[in-house]
Amino acid sequence: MTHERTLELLDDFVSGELEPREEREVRRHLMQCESCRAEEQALRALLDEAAALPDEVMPDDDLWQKIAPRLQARAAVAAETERTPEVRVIGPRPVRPLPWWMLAAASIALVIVTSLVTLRFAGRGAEPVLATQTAQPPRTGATAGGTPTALAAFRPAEQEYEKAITELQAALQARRGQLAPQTVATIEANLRIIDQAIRESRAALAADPNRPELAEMLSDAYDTKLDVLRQAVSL
Amino acid sequence: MAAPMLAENPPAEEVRTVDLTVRRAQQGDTAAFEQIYRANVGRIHALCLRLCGDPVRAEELTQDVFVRAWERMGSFQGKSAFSTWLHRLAVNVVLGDRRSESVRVHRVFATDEPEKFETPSMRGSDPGTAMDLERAIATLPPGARAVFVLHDVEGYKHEEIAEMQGSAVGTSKAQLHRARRLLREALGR
Repeated sequence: MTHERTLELLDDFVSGELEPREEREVRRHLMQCESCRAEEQALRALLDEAAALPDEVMPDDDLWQKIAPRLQARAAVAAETERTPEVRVIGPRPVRPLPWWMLAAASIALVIVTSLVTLRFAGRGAEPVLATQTAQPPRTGATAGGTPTALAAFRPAEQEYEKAITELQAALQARRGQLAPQTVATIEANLRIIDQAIRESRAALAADPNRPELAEMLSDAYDTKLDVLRQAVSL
Repeated sequence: MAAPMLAENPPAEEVRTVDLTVRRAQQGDTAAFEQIYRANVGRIHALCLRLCGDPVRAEELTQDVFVRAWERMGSFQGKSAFSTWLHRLAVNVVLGDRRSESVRVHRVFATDEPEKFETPSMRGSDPGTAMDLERAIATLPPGARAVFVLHDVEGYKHEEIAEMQGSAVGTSKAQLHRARRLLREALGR
């Protein structure tokens, strides 16, 4: 297993969420690679700390004094419960198929915001992003001090996004025949807009790889694409 | 503080007491519900505080959780432990608040109140280390913070988190990776 692949799988490895075969391969690589082993130990130390956080943190005030007046008499509550007999405690956000024009509007707004910020950050009063894309020197993925850039640090997350997108696109492709041609066309139009936002955010990040806000923005654009794909798959 | 009434593996006698208290609360006994509140408020407040990163909002959410629990006591059928039911209800309340919050107002993290994470009632770990991590968690972006707290502190699986958030497993994994990286940076490790 390669060094890069090991680092990609390390999160799942320390959480014990890898398939046995991959777990064996990661373990084998860790035995040979000191830097990956250091990474693993740092992650495990963080998880140990998280697991050791206190179970309880008491509020400053006695909240019961504020809660008690808000409690309705049980009879009234029971009557309400009868009207909605099945209360789901936890579960996926109700699928709320948004009108496509709303998605399109959201996507367009995203592109506009992205473009503005792209110009603000990447341009920085100099040339716009598209011009800087071709003029950038080769990137090493790390700053001079050795700290990973925001771009390099975002890469594993981006791979997860791409994986999730590929899975959803495959699911959408399988359902394509069941959707009206007009619906397919609208979905594709929306995805094109979001892809543009992703491209612009990525270009901005490539132009200014040390700016975590741009990685954040790229992450938001990927989230939007995943949301649209999920909605389309559930149609 | 009272002994935890709803511990993970309580003795049989304690389970019977809890069952009775829950049943009384289901029948409208507010004194019984106050017992439930006092036994669980520390755990529910800790969850709200870590998930929302804002001490003031955490107290409001804690109140909302118990009011919601009171309203829904009738739907608790004893299929899981009451503490599990209440915990999941709390996660739902906080995540629901985050979704509606994101379309209303963007809240600023109240990280200028680190003393909120230093309360004497925090138990079970080295106070200095825990406080550093608590503060670092509070500064995470909301999505990454929620996944880190649910996965690495509370022990939920990615599949459960994705279901709770109505998102993909890949999104949950990406957010967790981001959260761990940001925390390590914040803690200088």
